[in-house]
Amino acid sequence: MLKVAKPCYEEMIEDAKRRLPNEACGLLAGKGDVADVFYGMTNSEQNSVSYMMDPQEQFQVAKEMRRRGEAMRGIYHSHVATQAYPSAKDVSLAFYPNVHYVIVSLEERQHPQARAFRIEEGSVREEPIELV
Amino acid sequence: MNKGYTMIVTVNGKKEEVQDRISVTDLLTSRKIRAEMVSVELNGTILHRDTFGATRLSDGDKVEFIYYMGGGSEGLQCTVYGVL
Repeated sequence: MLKVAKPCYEEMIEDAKRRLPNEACGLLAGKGDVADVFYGMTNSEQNSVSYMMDPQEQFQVAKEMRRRGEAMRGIYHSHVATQAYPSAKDVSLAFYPNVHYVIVSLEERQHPQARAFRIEEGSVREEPIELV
Repeated sequence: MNKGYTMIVTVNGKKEEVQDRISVTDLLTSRKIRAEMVSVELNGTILHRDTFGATRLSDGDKVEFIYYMGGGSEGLQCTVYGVL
């Protein structure tokens, strides 16, 4: 299960909408077992069907998390026109088995849907998101 | 190779004892990390992957590595719409 603070969840959804028509991406972090900090990240591909986080920004945020005593709880991106389920590309580029991969689908613009997955060695397992 | 000598470097914020003058490639290999999966920063500068093998660390260096984070719906579209 991925526990996400409601303000953090809403920030993620708004970020996904704001960055249309491109896919959005970001990180969820927290000091405990609840993700309550949202880091919006640059999609260096600026593309509606793919994303890649900028390494320089990744390093900056990783250091910021460390400085603040946070741990990465989720890696998020949006699918602007398809379901919230990992694509083959998402699976092949999933290198963090202990972190939830969160996908926000904007397929239905008025009703964004977020789902969380653990991805390990090509195996996808959905886990519930609990808003706290 | 001075296999018997060690030095202290900081890896992702933690001080660690490693083999003296170890290369970035060998540091990654010792952690079972494939070079094509990560970005590496040495003392604040991102290294080009082609230089991992030739770049040797010195005592007191600060190394950061982070896995690529990417993907997207591209493959999913092929899967979903390909069967329609």
